[in-house]
Amino acid sequence: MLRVEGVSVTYGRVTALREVSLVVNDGEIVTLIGSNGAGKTTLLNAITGVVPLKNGTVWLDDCRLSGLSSHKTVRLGVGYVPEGRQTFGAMSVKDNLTLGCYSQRGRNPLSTLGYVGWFLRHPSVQSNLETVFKLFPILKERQKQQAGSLSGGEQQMLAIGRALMSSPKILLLDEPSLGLAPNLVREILKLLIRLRDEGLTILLVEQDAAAALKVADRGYVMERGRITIEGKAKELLFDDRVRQAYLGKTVA
Amino acid sequence: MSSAQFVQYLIAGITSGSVYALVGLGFTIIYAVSKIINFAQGEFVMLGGLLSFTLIHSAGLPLIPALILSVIVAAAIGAAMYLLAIRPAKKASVVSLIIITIGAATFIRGMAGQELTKAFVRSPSFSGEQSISFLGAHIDPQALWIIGAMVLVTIIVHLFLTYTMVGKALKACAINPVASSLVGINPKTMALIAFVLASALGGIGGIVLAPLTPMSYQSGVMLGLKGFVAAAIGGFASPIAAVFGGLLLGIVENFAVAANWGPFTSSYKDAIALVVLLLILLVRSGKLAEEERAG
Repeated sequence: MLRVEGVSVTYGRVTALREVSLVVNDGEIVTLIGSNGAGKTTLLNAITGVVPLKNGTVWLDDCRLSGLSSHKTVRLGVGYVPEGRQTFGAMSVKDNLTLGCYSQRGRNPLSTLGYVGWFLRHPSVQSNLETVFKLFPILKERQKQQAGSLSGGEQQMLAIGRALMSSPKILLLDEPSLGLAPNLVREILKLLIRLRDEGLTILLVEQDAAAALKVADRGYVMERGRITIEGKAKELLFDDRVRQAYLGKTVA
Repeated sequence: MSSAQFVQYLIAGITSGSVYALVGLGFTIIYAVSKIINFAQGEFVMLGGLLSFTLIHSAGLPLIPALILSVIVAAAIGAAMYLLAIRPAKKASVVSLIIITIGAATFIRGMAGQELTKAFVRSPSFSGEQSISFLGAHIDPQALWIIGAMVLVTIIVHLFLTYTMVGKALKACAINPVASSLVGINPKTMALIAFVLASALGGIGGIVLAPLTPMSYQSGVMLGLKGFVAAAIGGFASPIAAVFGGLLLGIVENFAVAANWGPFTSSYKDAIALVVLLLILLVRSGKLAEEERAG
């Protein structure tokens, strides 16, 4: 599904990613763990075209993503839930979700110029909206509220919902658990398993390595811009290096 | 001041304020989407005025097609300005882009003087010269066209931003450009739409103003400045705020002249906008510095 091949990114003179390669197969949850500043967010930004690559290529199936700007990678099927949620605070929940479908408007360009209601009447938009409301009933309840007035957890759901509205092939999530209460974190991780079981492919960046490895199929560990360890999530959970550095356990 | 005089000055204020409002609306829309202050904004009013005059008098077009064509050409020049001058400056800072708009303004002004006319011109009124009596005041019918055009255009812009997908995308881009690109909105397309919309608004201001006030290729400078003040009164925050800013400026300007006392005479009319701008900067400078620090 997603192949990252030898990707390097620099910010000025600072090298943020060095020759990073990773693969996410169809229907997998792959997690990327590592400490702050290891380059996890940069890698997601590189895949989605938010930051330019210095070297390397990114493939989504047979489409080359590298070199495209972010509004184009969405259209090709990459859904991205960025760090800090980044919802449109001054707009309603429903508007946020509707805009999530913006990338699909290509089917009928006129519908973007016309009344929003006509756009919403589009069957694919309607079915996506129903799916999201089914996943997050609270968003349906609050659809007329301003996104900025939602709680942190609700905003995270909105950010995920907005990304799902674009019918992505793969969903990238950057620290969805950040700042959330433990029960909400569990709920969101459970949701990721459910989405995976329904056929979605997921690349999850997490600070909470233990939680991420429990839901993931495979994992990669990043340190200072490089992938240092990779393997099945179950194996990583018991890997001494991972346990010591990221799971806060001393090796007996 | 008699009540008839009061009404007279009030309507004169609302009339010129309506044009400032249209220009201010353009400033606000472009700023919201791209953070660029487009100092060529006033030139589009001038273009609307001179183009409609030229199309009617030199090309002999009937009134309505001439007006529509003038707005379309103004909008097309706005698009060309964005595509040829702003977009190619890819990594330029916002300040550089603002300086580019000043250059574009000078260019547009020069071309208009060269290609259209160097004289002061006045297009024909839309509905005759016969003034209308209203509460003892004499109103030029063209003033009503100006006010009506402003109200109609404001409503259309509001409906466009609220009820169309592109309008929502423009808003989203103004709120958070990165997040908007992650849902598939191209910020460059949004900036292009903002420039086209803003120059069309300026053009509309020009076609309705030209029959009331004679215009020359240099008229855009002062109109642009007034529109900037209108947008600044509204804090560059919302389109509606810019419209009220424009109306307020027009009314203050006309009543200050009406006072005809001390410095408040018609020869200082244009200075009033600058005084208002200085006051806004004094009041808001603390707030602006705070916003700057906040990022």
